[in-house]
Amino acid sequence: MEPTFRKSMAWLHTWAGVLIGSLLFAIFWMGALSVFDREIDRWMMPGTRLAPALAQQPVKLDGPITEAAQRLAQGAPEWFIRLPSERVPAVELRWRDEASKAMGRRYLHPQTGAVLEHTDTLAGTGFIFPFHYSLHLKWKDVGVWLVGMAGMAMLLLVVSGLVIHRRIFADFFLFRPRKHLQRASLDLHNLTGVLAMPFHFVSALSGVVILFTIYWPSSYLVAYPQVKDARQAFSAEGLGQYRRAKASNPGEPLASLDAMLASAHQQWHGGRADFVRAWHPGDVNSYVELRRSYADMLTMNLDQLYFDASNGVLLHSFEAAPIMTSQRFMTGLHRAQWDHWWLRWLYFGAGITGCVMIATGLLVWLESRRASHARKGLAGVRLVEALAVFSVPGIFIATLVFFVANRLLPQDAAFAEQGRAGLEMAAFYIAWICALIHAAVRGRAAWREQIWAVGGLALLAVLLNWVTTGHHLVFTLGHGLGAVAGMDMLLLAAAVLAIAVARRLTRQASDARSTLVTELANSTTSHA
Amino acid sequence: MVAACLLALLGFALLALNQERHFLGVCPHILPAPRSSRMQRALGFLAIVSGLPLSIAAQGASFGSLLWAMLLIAAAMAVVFTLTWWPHWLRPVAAAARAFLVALPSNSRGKHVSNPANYLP
Repeated sequence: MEPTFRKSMAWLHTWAGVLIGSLLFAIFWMGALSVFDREIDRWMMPGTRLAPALAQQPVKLDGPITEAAQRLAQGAPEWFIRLPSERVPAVELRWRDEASKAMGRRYLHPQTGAVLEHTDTLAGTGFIFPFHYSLHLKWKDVGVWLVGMAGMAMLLLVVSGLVIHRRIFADFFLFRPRKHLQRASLDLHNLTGVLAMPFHFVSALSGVVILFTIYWPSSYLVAYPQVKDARQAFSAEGLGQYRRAKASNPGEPLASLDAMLASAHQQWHGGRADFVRAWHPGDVNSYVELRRSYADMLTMNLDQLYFDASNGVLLHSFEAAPIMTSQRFMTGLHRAQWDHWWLRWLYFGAGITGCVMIATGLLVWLESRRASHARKGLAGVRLVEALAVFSVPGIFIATLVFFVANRLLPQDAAFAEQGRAGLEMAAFYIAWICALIHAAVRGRAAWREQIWAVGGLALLAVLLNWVTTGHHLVFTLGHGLGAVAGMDMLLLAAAVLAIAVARRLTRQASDARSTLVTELANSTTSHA
Repeated sequence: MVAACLLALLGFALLALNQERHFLGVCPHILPAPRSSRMQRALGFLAIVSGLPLSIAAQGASFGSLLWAMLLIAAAMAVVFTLTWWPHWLRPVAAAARAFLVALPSNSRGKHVSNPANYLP
């Protein structure tokens, strides 16, 4: 135990930070990217790059769109449609495959119902966003638990950081990039930590609250002690999941979905549905689930309507109770699902400040110990440095390789039982592991070399997008394809930044080398 | 909305310029730097807070307040980077603030108040 509260908090901040910094960085990075998950989807699925103006025209589900859904999802126990929006101008159709249990996905043209050119990729919504909350470690929810732990650690780190910061107000605006690295990093760590503290605190807290059913199963186990399946009882009463079992008898054809949408519009006093799911299609017990859009409200509502599929009679209507609504408010605050560009960019920027804070925190740890560890022959700096390079420029490289692989792999690529989407993921992990090995071997020089690679890969991604789709910046800006243009521009900005940093690091390294050579030369001459 | 942005920027600039270190960064030729003034700090906070009703008026209560909170982070960061790399951009703010404080018949202003014309390049 340290003698004073502040000292014990400093100890906690230092060691919790080093221990969990790499994991937190990955979560923050993927979280910041998830803010633009739909835009990343458009970039990685060129077939769905429709003009956003298309989404403003009224959509008719009855007719070609429903026919396409019934054809593609034939025999599926359920299929659902997401209606087009500004961010996703196409109709998204998904269905559960009876045999493989996997979800199929196609995008349809919102007016003609034509199936758009398919790219087999998990992209932003399927890879980057789930990485943010589960690390793609599915076994026993290990990934979700690790992220939850990191979230709690983040809360501790924010509070302990404020306790140990002696000059919060005096240094409120202070940044000295021209001073030595340790000072500049600490300034930036303090700045991002203090100025963006409300965002970091609220996102860590709300992130933990979102997944409460996993972290605190007792919350529903206690509420439904008599029921055999407490989770299901909670889902029905808390989240409004209405279920009707399949009768295994063929039923009437599907009634008009557009009529159900119109009825929902009336029920919700002008609110619109953006999600339509057909359960047990073709069965006599088939029913349709409608969910209300939350594009224009902060709280992610849970409003749902269920209709009988054959005659359109309302079976069940749900609205969340106040306590669930407060959880959904936290969810909405965290997940930023609204159509609001100002907030979207501000969330992205604030997420990046989190990345900067964690990376500079690791740098401060390294720089303050580098000399003493070298003197005492300790391996700590080498180990943490390799981990820091792996988790900061390493994950940038892996992400960019994921984008590059998406543009390079042929449409029907398959290898070792992996489809195209699996190969893209494999490219991500292989690149990340290579970054770790490189960092372990190259020590301090790995920063410089990997940041060069980031700059090169970001440029390559923009170039490949142009070559494989013909969509260069002038084209995308001219045709209102904001998602693709924005992604390209952020990649270019990242490339410029990475190359500037890499050049500076290279210059410093060669300066240091020439100083060393001069010193050596001086010492030899003085000896001679 | 743009007004709320500008007010947040102005507010943080006023707060920063109220610190001797940042004042000298912006106006290195004014020596000694004026002492920090309670009035300037109050003005800074006032500018920041007055963005909230504007933001709520433009975007509604829930989005407006969230947007305002996020804007504060962005504005504070913007002021930090301006102070670091382009401090002279804030000279007009420093000049205007001093001119305003000189005009005030109050003893809350700093001691060493000189001619505000000196602040401009």
